[in-house]
Amino acid sequence: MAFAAALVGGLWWTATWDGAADIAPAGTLAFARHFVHFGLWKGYGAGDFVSAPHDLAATALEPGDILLGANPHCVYGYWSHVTIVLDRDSVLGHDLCSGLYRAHLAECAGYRHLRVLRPRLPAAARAAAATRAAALIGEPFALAARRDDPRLWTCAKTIYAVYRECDFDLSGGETLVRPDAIAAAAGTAPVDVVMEFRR
Amino acid sequence: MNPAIAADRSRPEALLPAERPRVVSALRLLAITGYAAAVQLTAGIAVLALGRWPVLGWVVLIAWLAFLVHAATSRHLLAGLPWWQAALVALGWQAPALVFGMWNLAAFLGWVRPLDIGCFVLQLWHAVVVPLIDCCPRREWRGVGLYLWLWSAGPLLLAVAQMLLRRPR
Repeated sequence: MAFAAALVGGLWWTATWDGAADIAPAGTLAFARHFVHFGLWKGYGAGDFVSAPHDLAATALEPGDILLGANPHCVYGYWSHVTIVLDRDSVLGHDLCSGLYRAHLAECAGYRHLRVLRPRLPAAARAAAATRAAALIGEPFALAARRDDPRLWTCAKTIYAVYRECDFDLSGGETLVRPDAIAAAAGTAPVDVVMEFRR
Repeated sequence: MNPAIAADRSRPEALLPAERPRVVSALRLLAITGYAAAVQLTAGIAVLALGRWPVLGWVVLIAWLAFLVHAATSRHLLAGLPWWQAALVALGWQAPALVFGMWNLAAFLGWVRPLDIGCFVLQLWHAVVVPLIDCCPRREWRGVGLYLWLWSAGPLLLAVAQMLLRRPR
């Protein structure tokens, strides 16, 4: 009975959240309420993709570059996704129903706002980070993966992990690292914004 | 009405004979289902929260497996129920993961589109098996990771195992 009451109470608590759709609150409980409200009840998820994709093929991306993608109505922050360039045509793909995989660059082209970050490191060090990322292909993707859990991965945790070995802490101190933390940490760490696309 | 009969009807045991066992059974089934689901969710949250120490995840998993055996053999849980009521409890206990696990399997076979929300619910409901998932070979079948097949089929396998293991101590 206590379990049923807690379950119904919890669902009511999340269903009655009246925060703004595009601003994920910072507090843990408020964030959980916002996440379940817009993710479960409104079905927003990672946001809405634009119809006309950006032309990323023509850009001079390098292995190890970090791609941040933002869509409206993302339930966990402004930035919906972050990934790393593996080679000229591919990035590390992340999906709940597929795990970590090698994705074509075009998969990242549909975000409303795209930002490309390049850590201030020698090209060989960035390529080594891309190689470490490629070694994670086939690993499980889970949204509840903690930063220090060696078994499960999220998009942002992957970027944090492959650059941690270069003394870059891009987690922003978050236990469950989000793309927003990578974007914010990039403002303080030695990382350059090399390209930006908006629609 | 005869005051003696009215006083008698105010007591729960004075309910009509045909109604009383049904009400008690339904409440008992709900209670057992909720209890088992609460144990599983708590164990899953513990496994995720202890992610920094994978060995402790194994401790939680072993404790949960012991609970599964206990649930299957205790007269207060599944073993004390007729087979169809035990089946209802086993299915209700795994219901969210069972629905989305079946959906995942159908999606992996190309029959339906994959559902992200389904994968998310499944991962949370069965987070307790993360140590086993970590041990699963990183191979693919039909383009899908072996661990994803295992994770998706897990709820059904678990419900069947609970029914097969069910016997009073």
